[in-house]
Amino acid sequence: MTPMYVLLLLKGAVVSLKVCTLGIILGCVLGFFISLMRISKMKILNMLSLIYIELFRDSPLLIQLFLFYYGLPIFFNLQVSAQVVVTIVITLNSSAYIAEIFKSAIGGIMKGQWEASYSLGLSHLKSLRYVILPQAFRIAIPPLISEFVGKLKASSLGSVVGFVEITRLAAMIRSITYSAFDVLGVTAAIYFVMCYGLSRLGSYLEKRLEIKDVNK
Amino acid sequence: MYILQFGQVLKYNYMLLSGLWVTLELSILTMFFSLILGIIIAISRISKNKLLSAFASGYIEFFRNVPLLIIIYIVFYVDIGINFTPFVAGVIALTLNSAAFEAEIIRGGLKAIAKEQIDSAQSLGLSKFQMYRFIIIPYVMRIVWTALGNQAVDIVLGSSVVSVITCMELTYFGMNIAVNKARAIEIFIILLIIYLSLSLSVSLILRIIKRIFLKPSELE
Repeated sequence: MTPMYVLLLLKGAVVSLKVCTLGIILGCVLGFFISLMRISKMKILNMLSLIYIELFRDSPLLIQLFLFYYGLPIFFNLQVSAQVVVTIVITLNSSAYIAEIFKSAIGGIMKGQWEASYSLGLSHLKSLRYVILPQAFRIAIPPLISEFVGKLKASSLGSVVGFVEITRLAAMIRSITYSAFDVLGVTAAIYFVMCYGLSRLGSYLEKRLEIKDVNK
Repeated sequence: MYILQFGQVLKYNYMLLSGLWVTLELSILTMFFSLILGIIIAISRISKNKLLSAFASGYIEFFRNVPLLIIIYIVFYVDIGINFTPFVAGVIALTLNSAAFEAEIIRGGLKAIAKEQIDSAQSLGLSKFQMYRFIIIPYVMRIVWTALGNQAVDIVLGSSVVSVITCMELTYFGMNIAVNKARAIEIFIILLIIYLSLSLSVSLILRIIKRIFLKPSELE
């Protein structure tokens, strides 16, 4: 385990972080629309969003990766790199979780807030846009961070479909150097520092962003 | 235009069945062992012994913040003098990982018991055993049941990762059939359906058990 290998692993960690950041940002956009479907009063939208959420949450991420890895070239004639496959799967998979996060954040806003904004003459959409969502986003930030941590860990599965990130590099270095303990130990340490740091940030923000009194 | 041909793949149903069996074995063994380990760690975590509590919280933080895949690699590849078969390594890695999450759930449940409940149990003259049997355990079980159920589903889904160290479970056979026979999409659609039905049945069974055995009481 030379410093060069450690540097290589760190570079891999940056790749993982980048892909997850992009995936989570896109997942937030998609998840937002799915959560709106989820809370809509139209039965059909409700059902569709529920099926989407359950489909992604109740099947292994590894299988989802394989499906898109083999499926994109066959069905859509798209020759994409493993990195794109991993980004797409993280986006879709996280959007299912994020939809539930947004849904419960919106549900956590007290009914009186809706009534108050209606009585101020705001329409349903305007109440959502100016009163409910700003508060809901605030509540949603800590669980969004833990979703990011979850996906950062899950992105290690990208190595199985050939995406070169930290875990893939670790597996390669391990097979070159035969020093499993050092390589995997350093890899685990890098993941730990990233994920633990983010989790701490999440619980700090949870305390900071808590809306007191209004929704009790 | 690609035409799905499931017939080609269903020829290998004997492989899928044996893989399904191994997946079930992995999941059930992991659920069992991780629950025991999780309870031990949760109790250590809230213990007054500083050293024990620090160890438990270190355990929880480590295994919650390192990917399952890395844990699996460490258990399988790091040489500690014993060579685990892929299946045993899989059960160990899944158990270590899952126990950390379950310990946090159980700790939350234990913390939720109000001191008044223990006081009133004692003032009713219940022995320590009776107190655990009739007050604490049923109450904690009801609180943690749903969260532990989600964790059980996670175990089933996580067991697919063990395929990377050639443990011959469902995903492993899926990957092999896909590579050799080129009907990759069909295979993974079938696997998706199998895993979906597995995780939905796990949550259904757990919900039925909750309805029958863990009746709500006026305490909540």
